[in-house]
Amino acid sequence: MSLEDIIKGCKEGNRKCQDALVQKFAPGLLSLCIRYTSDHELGRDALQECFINVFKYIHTYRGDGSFEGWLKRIAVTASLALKTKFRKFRFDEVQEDNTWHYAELPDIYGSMNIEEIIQVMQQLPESLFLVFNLHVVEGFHHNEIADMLGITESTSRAALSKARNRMISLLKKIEVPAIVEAS
Amino acid sequence: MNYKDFEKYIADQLGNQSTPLDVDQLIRDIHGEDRKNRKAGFWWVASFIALALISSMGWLFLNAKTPGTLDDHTSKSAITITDNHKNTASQNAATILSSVHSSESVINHENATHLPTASISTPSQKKVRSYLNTSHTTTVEVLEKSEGPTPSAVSHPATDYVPAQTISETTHNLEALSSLPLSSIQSQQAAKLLLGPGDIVCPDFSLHSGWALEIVPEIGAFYPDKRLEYRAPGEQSNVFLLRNQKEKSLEGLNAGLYFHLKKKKWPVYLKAGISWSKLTEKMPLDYSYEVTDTTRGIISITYSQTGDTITTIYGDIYTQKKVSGKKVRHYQMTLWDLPIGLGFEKNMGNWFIAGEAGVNINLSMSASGSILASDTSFTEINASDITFRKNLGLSWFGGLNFGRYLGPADRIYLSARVRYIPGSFSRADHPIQQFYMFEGLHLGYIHRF
Repeated sequence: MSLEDIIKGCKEGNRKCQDALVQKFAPGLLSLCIRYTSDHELGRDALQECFINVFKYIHTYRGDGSFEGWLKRIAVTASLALKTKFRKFRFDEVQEDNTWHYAELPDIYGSMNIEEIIQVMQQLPESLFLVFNLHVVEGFHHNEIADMLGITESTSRAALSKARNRMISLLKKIEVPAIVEAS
Repeated sequence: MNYKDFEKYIADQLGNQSTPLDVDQLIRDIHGEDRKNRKAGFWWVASFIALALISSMGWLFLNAKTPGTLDDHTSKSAITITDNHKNTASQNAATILSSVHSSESVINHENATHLPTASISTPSQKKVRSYLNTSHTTTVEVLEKSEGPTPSAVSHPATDYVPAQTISETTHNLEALSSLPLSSIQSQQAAKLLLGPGDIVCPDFSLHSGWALEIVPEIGAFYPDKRLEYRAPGEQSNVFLLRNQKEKSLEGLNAGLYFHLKKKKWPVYLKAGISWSKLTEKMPLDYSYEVTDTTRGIISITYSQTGDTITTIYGDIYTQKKVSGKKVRHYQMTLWDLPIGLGFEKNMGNWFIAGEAGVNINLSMSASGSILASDTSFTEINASDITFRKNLGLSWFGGLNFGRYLGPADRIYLSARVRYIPGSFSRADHPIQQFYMFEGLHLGYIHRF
């Protein structure tokens, strides 16, 4: 069954198509939800909430964009809603900072595994972590990020710049013998 | 390696990451089917056990009504037959009228001859409550039809009835009647006449049967003694602080229908039934926050030095508005439980006191209403809410009842009861854990079948 057929079936409320959609996207979206909720159980609940909303609002998907992107956006929204429901989250004020520049990194960073990457990213402040994830990993534009987080586009841009600078400094702090040798 | 390439590498790695999960369970959860299958199975089993217990109570009660049930005190009854040597040998029939309570059993013997006049006494050593004394009076009459002018009748009031086993038991004693100063033939005939198997139908007295079943409707009110805990020690959110400070438990309501099963004369009874409870939480909230509105408008007008050029600059105009107010919201929790326990009661004349303790098996817990979500807003609790659990598991209860007899089968009581619920009402992953202990007063009515 092609994705188009699945979407069409879901719009008609076909249970088999709904199940097929869950089976196709659930494992990938669960990682996303866990990343944004920082908790496996919360992530699992967010994923459930995400699919409930997907089936509820799938008729609004017109097919003029990536379906996966649409799904991701719902999953992120569900995760953030769940996270903020349990713990109030305030987006830190970020000063305008566009001074960062692309740094040259040793090639060894290209062989870091997922756990190591997440470990570094989780050292970012929450606001920066969110914007960095949404832009770099999920590929959302600043207007979309602003919409999701309830901030302005300029704040989103500033947060991304700051997150990048912080990432570089964090990466440089990693004491990997291989990296030292390579550099 | 360029940093931009590193970001691309991160996006590829994390974007393609997937976490294994039980997709079938997720599908069932999404469609609202059997969220916790295994746990639900356990509660089905628990419910089945409780229902089986109630059914067995009924079965025991019905069995207790069959003839021949031996009450513990009846073994102390005795039967004696005395020969007054005055009856004639030409008696044709004897009628024994036996009256116990309001029931009567009549035994007719058409062919009885040589019947001695008998008197049956059943001295009871049992203590009965005052209002039962009259109803326990037993009268046994032996009417003789003889050739003599007037049948003689002997009546003897007794303080209790004679159950069938007692009479059967006394058959053995009657076999020894030959040693009495009465001809052995006459004695045996008398025994056959009075106590022959199949001739006597033991009356059914459910009030005095071996087991008693009581139905107990009850209503009550309780105070939910609430305790909030933050899941992460040392960390407290604004919501937690506000709820802990201002959320107030209102009185809860409880109604139940219970069954007591007890053996007569035993002070201990088994209690089971179904119970419904509802409690309400009230949350007043004083809120205040600032809203920033942005509108497009003229933010600057400049004039050239010569005054012939006017430059108008449009831009965002920010206006800040302070919003404050007060909201009061409620949420309710409804519990269905199967209580199973043991009670011990002591009679004091027309009054009684009872203590009982046991376990409540929670069948379901549901919540509705609005609960605080942030320091300025509430959120609706709905079916897909993740704040509260759907089942509380086991909890414990204990109480003291004080009551009065209204009649031989009816009582009324007031009960002070405490229910301790060790499990949290909140889901395990919820940051605010909510615990309760119920302290209540209940009014109940007991009817014994």
